[in-house]
Amino acid sequence: MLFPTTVFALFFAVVFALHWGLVRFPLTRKLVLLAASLFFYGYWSWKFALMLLASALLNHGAAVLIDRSSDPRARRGMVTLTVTANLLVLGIFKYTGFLFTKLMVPLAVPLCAWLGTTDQLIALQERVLPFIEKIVLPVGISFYTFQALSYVVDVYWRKTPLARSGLDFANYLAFFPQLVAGPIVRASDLLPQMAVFPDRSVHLDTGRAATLILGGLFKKMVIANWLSEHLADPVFAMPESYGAPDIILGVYAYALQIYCDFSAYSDIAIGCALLFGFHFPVNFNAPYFAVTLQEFWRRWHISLSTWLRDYLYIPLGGSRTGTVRTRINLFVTFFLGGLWHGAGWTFVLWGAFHGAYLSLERAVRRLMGLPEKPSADTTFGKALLGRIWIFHVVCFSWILFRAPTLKVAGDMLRSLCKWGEPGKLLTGTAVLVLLVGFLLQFIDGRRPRPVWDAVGRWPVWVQGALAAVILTLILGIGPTGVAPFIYFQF
Amino acid sequence: MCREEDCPESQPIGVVVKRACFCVGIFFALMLLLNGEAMYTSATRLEYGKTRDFWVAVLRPVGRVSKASGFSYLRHVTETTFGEWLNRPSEK
Repeated sequence: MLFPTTVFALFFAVVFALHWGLVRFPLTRKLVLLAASLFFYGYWSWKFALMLLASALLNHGAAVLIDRSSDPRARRGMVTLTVTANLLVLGIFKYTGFLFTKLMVPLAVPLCAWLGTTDQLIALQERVLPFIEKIVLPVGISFYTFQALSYVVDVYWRKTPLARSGLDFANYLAFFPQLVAGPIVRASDLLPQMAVFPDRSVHLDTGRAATLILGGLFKKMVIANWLSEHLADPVFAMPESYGAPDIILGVYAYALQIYCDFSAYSDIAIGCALLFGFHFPVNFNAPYFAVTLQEFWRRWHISLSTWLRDYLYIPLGGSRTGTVRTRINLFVTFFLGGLWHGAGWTFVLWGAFHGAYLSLERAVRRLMGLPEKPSADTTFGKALLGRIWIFHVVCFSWILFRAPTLKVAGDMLRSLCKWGEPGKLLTGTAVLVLLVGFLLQFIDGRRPRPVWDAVGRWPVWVQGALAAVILTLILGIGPTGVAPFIYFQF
Repeated sequence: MCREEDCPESQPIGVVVKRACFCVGIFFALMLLLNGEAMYTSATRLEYGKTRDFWVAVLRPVGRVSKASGFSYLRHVTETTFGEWLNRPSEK
C-alpha cells in the first residue's frame, strides 16, 4: 500500500477513527493497531505479513530468554544466535541471487574449466536458478530486521527494558507508517510509547503533522516524480546517448530525486505517527548543506547512520582503537552499509567509496590540524566551498548507487567527457524543479517550527480545509500515476 | 535518538484529540469533495476485476457529488493548467 493512494487514504481514515474511538479499551486498541499494520503490510502479500509476525514473535521470545538468563555465556550465545538468525533470513531473501550469480558462478567458471567440470556447473545453474528467481524480497525487510536487531541487542546490553508483552513489541516492529522505509525507530524511543498508548488527554501537533505530510507529498509527487521521469531515468537508461551537460543534469536530478523521495517517505511517516500520538525521531536534516562527508552522514538517513554507528562501528572498536583500526572500522561500516542497500556490485562500490572517502577525510583533517567536526567559526566562504565540494562528491557516488550495472556507471562516466554535444534536457522548467528540490531542504529538521506553531494556532476546521485544498493542488500538479518510493526496494 | 523537541515528554503542543479528529474529519470530507471525480476516473482506469468493481462502486457516488457540487473544478483547473504545463515532454 503506497501513501499517496486512495486505498491508503481510506485505510488511514478507518484506522485513525478506530485508534481514537477505542481509547477506553486499551487491549482492543493495541490489537486493532497491530491488525491494521499487518493489513497494510499484507496488502503486498499475506505471506509478508506472516513473516513479519513470525519475526516479532521469535525476536521477542529471544529477548525474553536473554533478559531472564543470568549466565553471561548463555546470554551471549542466545544473542549471537538471534542476530545470526535475523541476518540469515535477511541474507537468504536479499543476497542469495547476488551470491550465486555474481560471486559464486564467476569464481567457479575458471575453476570448473580447469577441472573440466563446466557441464556440471551449467547443470547446477539450471537447477538452482529457478529457485533463486522464485525468491521475492519482502518490502521493508531490511528496515524491520534492523529494528528487531536493535531491540534484541539493547535488551542484551541492558540498555532497553524488555517489552511488556509480545503485543507491544509486535506493534513496535510492525507500526505501519515506518514499516517499509523507515525511519528505523529504536526500541528505546518507541517501545515506551507502545506500552502505554496515548489517551485523549494528549495534544496532537496537527500543524506539524499537516506540514510534514503535505510537504512530503509535494516532495514525492511533484518534485521527485518529475525529476525521475524527465531527467534522471532517461539519462541513466541510455547514458551513451547524452553529452556531459545532460549527464551532469541527470546526476543532479537523481541526487535531488532520491532526497525528495526518501525524505518525503520519512516526513509522511513522522506526520502520520504524530496523528496517532506517537513521536518518531527526525530522519533528514538538510543533507546537501553538509560541509564534510561525515557531516553529510549526520544529516542523511539519520536513523540508519546512527544504527550503523551504535551496532556496528562502535562494537568494532569505533575510534578508540588507534588510527589505522579506526579507518578500517569506518570502511567496514560503510562497506556493509552499502551492501545493506542492495545486493549488487554498484552498492558495494558505493559503500566502499563512502567508507574510503570518510577515512581519507578524517586523515586529511587530522593532518591539517582541523577539528573533526566543522566548527561554527568556519568562514562563510570556506563553508560554501565545502558544501559545493561535498555535494559533488555525493552526486558522484550517486552514479554508482543509481546505475543498475557497473557498465552503466562506466558509460555515465565516459559520457561525462563528451563536452561537444549540446544539452537536450536543460530547460527552464528543469532548472526551476531542481532549484525547488534543493530549497526544500530548508523545511527539514525543526527549521519550520514557527510555521508548525502558526498553523497549529489556526482554527482546526481551517487547518483541515486548507490541507484538503493543498492536497488537491499537489495531486493536480503531479503526474498521473504513483511511482513507488525508491527505498521500498531496500 | 529521540531529540528533546520530538520526545513525548516535552510540553504539549497542538490541539486536544477531539479537535484533531474534527480537523482530520474536515480534511477527509473536503478532500473527497475536491477530488472525488478524479478518484472515480482513476478507479475506472484500473484493471478489470474485483478490485476495480469495488473502487468504482465506492467512488461513483463520491464522484457524482463532487461533480454536481462544483468542488471538482479546482482539481480540474489545476490539472489542465499548471499540471499539463509542468508534465509536458521536456526534451528539446
